[in-house]
Amino acid sequence: MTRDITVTVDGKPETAAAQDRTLLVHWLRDALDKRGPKIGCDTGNCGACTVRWDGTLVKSCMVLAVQADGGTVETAASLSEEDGSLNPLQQSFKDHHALQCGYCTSGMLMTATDFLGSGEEVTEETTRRALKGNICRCTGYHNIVCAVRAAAGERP
Amino acid sequence: MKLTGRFETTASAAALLSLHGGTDALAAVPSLSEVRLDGSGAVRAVFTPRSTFVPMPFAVKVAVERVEPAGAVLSVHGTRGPTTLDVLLRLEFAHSGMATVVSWAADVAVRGPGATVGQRVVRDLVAAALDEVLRDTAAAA
Amino acid sequence: MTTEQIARTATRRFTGKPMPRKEDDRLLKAQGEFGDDTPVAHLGYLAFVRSPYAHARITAIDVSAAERVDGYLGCLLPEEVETLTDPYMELQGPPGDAEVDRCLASGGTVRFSGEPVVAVAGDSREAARDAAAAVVVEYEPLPHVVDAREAVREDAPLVHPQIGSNIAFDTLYDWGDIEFALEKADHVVEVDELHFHRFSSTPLECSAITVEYDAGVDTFTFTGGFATPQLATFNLAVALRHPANKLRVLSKDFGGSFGVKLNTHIPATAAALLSRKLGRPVRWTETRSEQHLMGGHGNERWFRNVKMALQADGTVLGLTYDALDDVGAYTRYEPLGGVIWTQVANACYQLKHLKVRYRSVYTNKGPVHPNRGYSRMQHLWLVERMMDIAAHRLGFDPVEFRLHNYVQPDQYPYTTVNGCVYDSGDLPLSLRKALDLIDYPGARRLQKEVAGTGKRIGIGIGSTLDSGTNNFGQARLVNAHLPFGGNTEGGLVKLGADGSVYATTGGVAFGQGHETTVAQVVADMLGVGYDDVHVQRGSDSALSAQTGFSGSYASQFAVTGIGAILNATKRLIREISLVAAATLGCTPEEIELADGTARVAGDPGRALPLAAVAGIVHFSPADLPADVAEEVGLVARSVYRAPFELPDLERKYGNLTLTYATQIHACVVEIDEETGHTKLLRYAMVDDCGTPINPMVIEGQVHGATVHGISAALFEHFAYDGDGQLAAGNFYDYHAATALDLPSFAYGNVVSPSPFTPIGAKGMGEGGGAPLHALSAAIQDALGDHGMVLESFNPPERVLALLRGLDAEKVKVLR
Repeated sequence: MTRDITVTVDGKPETAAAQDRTLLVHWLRDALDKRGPKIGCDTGNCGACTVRWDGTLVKSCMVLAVQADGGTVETAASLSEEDGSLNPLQQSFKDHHALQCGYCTSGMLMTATDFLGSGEEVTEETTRRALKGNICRCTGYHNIVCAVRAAAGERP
Repeated sequence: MKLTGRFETTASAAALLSLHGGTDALAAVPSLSEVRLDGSGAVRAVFTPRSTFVPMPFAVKVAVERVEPAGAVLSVHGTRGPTTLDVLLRLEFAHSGMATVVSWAADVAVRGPGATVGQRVVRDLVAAALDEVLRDTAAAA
Repeated sequence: MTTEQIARTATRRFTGKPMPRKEDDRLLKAQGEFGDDTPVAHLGYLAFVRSPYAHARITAIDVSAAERVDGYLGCLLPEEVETLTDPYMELQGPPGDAEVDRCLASGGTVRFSGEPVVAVAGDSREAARDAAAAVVVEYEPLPHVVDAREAVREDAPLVHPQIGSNIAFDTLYDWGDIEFALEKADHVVEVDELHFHRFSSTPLECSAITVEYDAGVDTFTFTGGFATPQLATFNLAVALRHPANKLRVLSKDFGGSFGVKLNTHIPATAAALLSRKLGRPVRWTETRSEQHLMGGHGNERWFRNVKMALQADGTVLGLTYDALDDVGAYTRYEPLGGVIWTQVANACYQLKHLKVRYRSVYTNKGPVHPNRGYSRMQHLWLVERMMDIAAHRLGFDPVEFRLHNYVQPDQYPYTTVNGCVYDSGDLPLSLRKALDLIDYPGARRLQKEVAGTGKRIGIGIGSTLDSGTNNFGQARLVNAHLPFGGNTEGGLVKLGADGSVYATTGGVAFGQGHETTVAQVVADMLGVGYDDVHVQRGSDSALSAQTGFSGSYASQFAVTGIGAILNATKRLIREISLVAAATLGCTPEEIELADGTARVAGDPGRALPLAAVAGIVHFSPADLPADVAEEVGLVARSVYRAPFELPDLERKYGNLTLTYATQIHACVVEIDEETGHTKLLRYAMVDDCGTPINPMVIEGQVHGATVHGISAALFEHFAYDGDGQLAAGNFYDYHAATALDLPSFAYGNVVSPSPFTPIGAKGMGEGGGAPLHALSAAIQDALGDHGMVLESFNPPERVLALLRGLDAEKVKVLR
């Protein structure tokens, strides 16, 4: 069955059709042309599709689009400053060379944003644990961990 | 993979052995639909096991390889999209008071995504599906 | 301008510095454009129906149920492909060239589980997949073979019966005189069999290809991840029987290749045929499982009858082995791997004798593609493993033994047994730095302290090479009739009508930061700001920057890609100088470029902004002398030609690669005797890739290659069961390392400029699989010589078996 759903995505209400079986990531990408959530696997392992849904970090391939009807979704496209410049976390990724091909980056940024806002102490161990649901095949994580810690004011 | 199971049924061995001739009794099995005999005498049906999380109908072909007084050997070929299932199923019937004890041993090959993606669960799913359909079929005999 | 001059100008303001990457802003703001991101009107989606069987004859295909699926657009059947296409080129000579490879199973037979049989299109992803699931294919199973050792037996089932065996390529390399060495050496160490397992870099973005056929001009446009766009064009032209000039190949942002996306032309052929048939654009977006089934596996290799000859003082003389390289069901880039490993024949050592019988073997498994460290890391692992085993069994200190046998700094340029020339390096210094970074003496103390606690400490060294810039003449060692020799790359630099600088390279970046490094060298040479240089994202075959070999592979961009950009920029400087000289009244030789102007050297008052140069050329050519106006277009396109000759085919001798970056890794692991779990305590890598262009990018490449190696050594395995089914079709069963699996790294470097390249830089990035060598050695070190590490993949279950003495009997010290 197909019906229209409305979700506030990156601050803007969006209405588009979704099948019952449509995953949130497919709806965001195919119905709304959002480029933040990426698809890197079929099984919820890679984290490239990570978004915040009603304030909670989720892999958007693990949520049906219809579940999000009436809710709020934030993708990585919402992270930049209002003037379009990089926010401190994004800047830290750039400064620390924490991305190469950039395919995992949106999901990685969403997870890191959530982690930095969680109030948890930011150490190497906690950072690595927080990022473990996001696979990166390029960087080897070292620089991502450094970037996240630096964004929290830590000197790794 | 090799799977085995055993259960008791009130049907006699003779009643069980007579199942392969007609489709009426099989049509009464809840997980089987569109039951028919094909030109080669094999049973064709759609088998939708109840043990899966979502309905997964398989198109199956069941051929009787051998019938013995107290058992039978069946070959089952099932497909669902790019997944295929081949089962060589040995059944043995033994009297036990009023009941018949059905012992089964299956040599199962799963191919395609069912094997590649479903490898962690496929053994349990196939074992449950076989057990379920055999019990239901015996109950229909 | 001489090489020296370029080096001087090119190390001015930006080159050599860790400049922030030009690519980053768009990627950080979710504004990158990857293969599946671009909205296209009336897009059809393609899904493949794939074989569940490892080997079977197709007896019937019924698409009638698919036709009833809502949104079904059409399909492509094997028989149409047989009619409409020619088979892809085979690189091997007879009899292996009788193989027939097409985009859908050819000859009515499937040869591996996951091979595409039917391509189905729908007006949505869901429709395409629903329709594909409704296609019924009937098969008659055929006997299959999944183990290369069985595949070479006389009675083995044949993957391609018309070839007459399962051997695609069979050759003998025999350099020096290993028989003599084995007879006379003080020591001979023999190992029955070692195995390098099957894995892949599995880029996070699976393949995504969009094909638009424009009937009006009879032209196909392909957009997606094509790592070698001109080779892809050529392959597509042959397969589609379509002129190469009516094929355009584009890449935008590209989520990793690591080599495996060199063969995207194969699924692209099916998408092209469907696009033309349906009269609408068609996109194929590969799923993770599909990527694992067919996206390209790394070469799996068996090493048998391995013998190493050594002297009593620890000098290694040489070695010999038989290699069975399991290439899977089709030779898609193979059997080039059969010669590419010889680029590093000596590994890091002063070997004098090497004899290898090498066979590329078909099995009913997914085809192998080039994968980071392609074919060299297998041999490098074997040599490093044998060094380690010999040290353990003969009682040599693993550090001193390596230092003694390394190619020494004063021996460069060093000619290997097969005529390759190692350009530069300092392996002993690199090893000492790596050992400092892991606190080697401290680690040895720790090893003693934990003995008997249920934990064991192992210390491992991995010495490796990253050979870069191929001499394609080596392909003739596989097949003397192949028309390849040398190597080139192209680059294009131009001034726009407003004086803005634009550069495009023939290389195709998938994370290596080419936009950044190109801008660094162009800005320095033109005397403009780093931000003033605009670099084309991805690649576009229509921009004419490319040459036949263009692309990013074989660790070469810093040499070939940058070399071509340097040459193109030189040409542009010449044009700018002609215009400025004519305008400012001096000779072109007196013009220098600085601060965004062309000015008379020593007379900064006489200067012309680049915008004025461009303005004159584009809008007021009448101001110029006729000979200048006719020569100058401000579009400079050049090639870099690597200085190679064809190898001697008789002796299989010659220089096969231009540069040799080195990496020495050292690590400390803790092994739990109860669980077999290997925990990395310390990990260090020391890299030497010559003169750096951007040290930040280099360190990032080293990190990435390190994790690919660690993950492969401990977690990743494309295992097949006896039925030919892949047991690792997703990231559950194929565990790509996460942040939590890894430690922080200690990175160090040594700079040994290459004497052979434009700015002394060496290609790098593949890394040579050093973690596989280092981790095998570390686990061995923890075991003592109780069990022997003869497999490159060592998950906990294998480590437990090793702790119980696995494979100890397969290693013999003959004397």
